Amino acid sequence: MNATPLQLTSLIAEVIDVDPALISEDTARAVVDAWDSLAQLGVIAALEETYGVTLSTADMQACESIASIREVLQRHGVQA
Amino acid sequence: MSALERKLAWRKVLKSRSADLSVLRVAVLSTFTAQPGEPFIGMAFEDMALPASLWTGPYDQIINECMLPGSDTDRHSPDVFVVWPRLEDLWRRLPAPLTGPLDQYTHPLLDVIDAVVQAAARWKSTVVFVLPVIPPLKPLGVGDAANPAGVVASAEAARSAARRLLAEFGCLVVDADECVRRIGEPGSFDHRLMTTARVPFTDRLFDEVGRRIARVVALHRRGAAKVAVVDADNTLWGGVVGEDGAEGIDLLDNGPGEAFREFQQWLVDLRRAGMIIALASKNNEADLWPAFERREMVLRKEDLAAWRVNWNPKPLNIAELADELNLGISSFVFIDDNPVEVGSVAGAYPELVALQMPQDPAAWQQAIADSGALDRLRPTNDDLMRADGYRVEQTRRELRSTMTPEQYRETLDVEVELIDPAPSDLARLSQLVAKTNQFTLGGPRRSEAELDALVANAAWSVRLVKAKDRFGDYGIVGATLAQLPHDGSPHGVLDTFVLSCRAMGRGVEEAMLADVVEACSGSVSVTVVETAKNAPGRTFFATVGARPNLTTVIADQPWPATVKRGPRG
Repeated sequence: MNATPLQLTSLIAEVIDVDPALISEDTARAVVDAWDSLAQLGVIAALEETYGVTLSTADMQACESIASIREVLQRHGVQA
Repeated sequence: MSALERKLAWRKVLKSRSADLSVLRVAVLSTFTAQPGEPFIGMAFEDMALPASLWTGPYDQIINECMLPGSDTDRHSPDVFVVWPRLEDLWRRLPAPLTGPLDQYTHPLLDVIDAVVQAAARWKSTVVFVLPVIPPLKPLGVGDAANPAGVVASAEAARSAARRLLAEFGCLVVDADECVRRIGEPGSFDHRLMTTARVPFTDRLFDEVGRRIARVVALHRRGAAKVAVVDADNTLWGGVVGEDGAEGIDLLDNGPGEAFREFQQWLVDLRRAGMIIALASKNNEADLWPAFERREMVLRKEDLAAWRVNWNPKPLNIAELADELNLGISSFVFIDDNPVEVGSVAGAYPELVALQMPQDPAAWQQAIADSGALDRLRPTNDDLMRADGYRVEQTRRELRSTMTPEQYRETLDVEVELIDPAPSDLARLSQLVAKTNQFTLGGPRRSEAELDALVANAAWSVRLVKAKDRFGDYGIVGATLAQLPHDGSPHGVLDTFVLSCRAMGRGVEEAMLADVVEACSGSVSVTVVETAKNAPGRTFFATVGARPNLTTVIADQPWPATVKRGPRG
């Protein structure tokens, strides 16, 4: 795991290149235009790299909001 | 630098670039989702001081993008045209390689090369062809190795045939399989991303391939280094000849001495490949040359084109060598074990590559190979390398070079069938409507519930589009929704028009439009709303006279001549 992990919402905002203010705890992927399928690939890679986890295909499919990402990470023992 | 850092660095490069910077326009076409490679390829060019813009073409459309005028890539007209197919994708319509014949697994790759070379000649682009990886999955598992018609055998046959054809055309080549070997299979492939998003490779693989792409392009544009200037003590042998004497220096077997001799052998091989070898050594000549008389020496004095053996500063000696050889210092590579010497030479001549060798001579060849400083392209005729010099007409292959795009389209044998959706098709219909971004009208998307209601509504025409061509069946690739003429209006209203990008550019869209116009008793009004992503849809509708953001009536739309009408259409 990264020594100083970014706050999850800031990490997502940075990866999909939007104003961090646009990403909050209850943000879903569907409402953020920039969070398209390509940006989602970047999100998955960043989660794996930052938190040192390996997500399954089903995990990847589940990562559709900040809350669900947090849930997925929790299943992998990461409190993000 | 981690993959994430590299991606963010690329974004920063793009944002900080001034608009008037002249960049190399690099286009990538592949049979898979290659967009994740953009930051890595882009940064690799940045590292080579060749600022590049990256553009990735539509998914799995290499031949169509090359053959059809007005395609996205055609309009883009790139400086560097990177083509990266995957054998698994080219073989999709074939049974898994098991019993041969090998030819059928080779032809699809050669067809791609033909199309690419023709397009590159039109665009005056430099082609970088990425030789596809050997597929990692084999039905026979460990038994594939013994099967002369197996997966690896078929891939190797296709790859060697491709390499020969690419050499004939003078294309630049990067071998993706070499990158897999370097990284290892587990670190190169990501089957999760493949099933989720058609991305077969990891960031590491994209990074490795990207670096090689930038390296061959830089080599092609700048030429290879011409002169390798090497030090003697602790570079050609172990120890210092002025102190240890010619008999005391280490050139012995089974130890560092053997590694020094291997390095010498490598210099001799480079010389055979056209590199000039020169020596710059702080020594007395009387001490130095006896070392070259040692029986174990592989590099001989006569292999050296020039030398400076004295106590002058090395930058001065390099300037003199450049004069003597009548070559620019920028074509020199300086190889030394001493960081002070490397620093002084690099400081004096920023245009020269100065390589500091690692402590252990056993690591030298790899260090030099990794630096790329002594990379050379295969000896070739310079004319052949220029895009306009591609000798298409001189090659034996193939009918395609005399084929117009229309004729090519005819050979595709496209067949389109328009069907009224059955209840079981509703999921596919709503998926197409929800997920299609590029070939759309850009208006609001119908929800699944709305679609369900409209399918049952007799005042509407709802059609699903099935398409196939000689390469195989594409399945359901598009949908149209139109409200039939009503309230005294003679025209129907086109509501939804979506087509998957893998079916674009083959006449399927014309067939869809012809069908919808017919369903609406001969005319339909169309409003295309411009969105960030629907350029393909806008472009098509512009060809039939419908400008974006205006309402246009389209009538008398003929069924395209190159498309066969399926049974239920």
